[in-house]
Amino acid sequence: MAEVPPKIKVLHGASPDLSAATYQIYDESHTIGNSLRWMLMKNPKVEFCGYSNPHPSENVINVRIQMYDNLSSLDALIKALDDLDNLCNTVEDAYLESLREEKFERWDEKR
Amino acid sequence: MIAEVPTVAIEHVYAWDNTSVIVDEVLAHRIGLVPLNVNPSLVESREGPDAQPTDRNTIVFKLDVICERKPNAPKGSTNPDELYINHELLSSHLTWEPAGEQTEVFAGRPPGPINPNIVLAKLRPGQAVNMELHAVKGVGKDHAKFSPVATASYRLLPHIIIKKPIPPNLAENFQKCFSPGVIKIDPRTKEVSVDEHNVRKDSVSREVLRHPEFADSVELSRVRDFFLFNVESEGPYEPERLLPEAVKVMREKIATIKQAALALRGAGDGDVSMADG
Repeated sequence: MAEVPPKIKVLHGASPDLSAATYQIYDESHTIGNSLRWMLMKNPKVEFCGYSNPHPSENVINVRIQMYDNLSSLDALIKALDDLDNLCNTVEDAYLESLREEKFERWDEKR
Repeated sequence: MIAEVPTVAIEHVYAWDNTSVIVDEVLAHRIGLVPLNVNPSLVESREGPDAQPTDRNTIVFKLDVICERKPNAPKGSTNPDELYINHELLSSHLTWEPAGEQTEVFAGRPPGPINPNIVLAKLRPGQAVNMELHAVKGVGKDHAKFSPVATASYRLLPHIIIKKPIPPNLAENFQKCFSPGVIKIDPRTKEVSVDEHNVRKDSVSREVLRHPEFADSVELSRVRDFFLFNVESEGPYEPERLLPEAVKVMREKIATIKQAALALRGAGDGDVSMADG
């Protein structure tokens, strides 16, 4: 089998201080791409963020991040990943909490 | 949920004998699509095509059915139920072959099809099927048979704003423009209001916009950050377990990317040597 590509690589065209860079994330799709872009855009230090799936049969997404004040886009990416993880955690906790309190409707399928 | 929450389905079919009218590969495909009642968290996924099957990652089923004539079938009958034994190959004919520690692991719920009445093939006397089936864990993006849900969709919560009071004589007409329960009418004053708890029942038919008399009195929109998910389980997971499982998959993805990103920061450290090429 072919060698597994690295999970993340910096595509060329990145500025030397990484204040603007395109990251290629392997084996991910719109699921991660869209939510990561959304989370990055919440960061006021991010000037621009966009993602694309270059071709549907290529199993990668490209995430472009440009920062204000020459901040590191890699730090912003890591922060966005942390925030996204916290978001998932919050959603899960809230869901399990209302499930415990039986705050749901029951519905039986008619046979 | 559709593509990445794992389930167990039949992946390898070894046909020893198949004299039914359905050819091996078509029958194998039909067998693969049968939903199994195996709790996916009890099974490990088989990594790579070269991995050896073990009792941790593979569940074996046997299928051994022979169709025969019934000895005392009534003369002149055309009903296959009366004429033949085993004239249909059903999902209930799948018999589980426990291996190793599987007897204890699956003691609570022996592996088998969720629905025992799926017809896989029709048989006639003299025809037989004898196969060995190996079920493994997989995800829906690999093959739809691994998808744990029949449907999973989301929509935004409808938002109805009544901008001008509706005249009492038109109140009932206005109510009929929406799904039942969405619009309340005060029985005394005939005042129209939106039932906040039942807005989600609205089908968003936008019927009200077809009526010129309501043209300026109502605005239809969506709540941008209120999602309603509709999920229908295939069986391996209880429906209420699907969302936590989906969140778990999402968090695993985030964790791997974060690890890679941290490694990149550690390795790069000021220079972007990764950007070569």
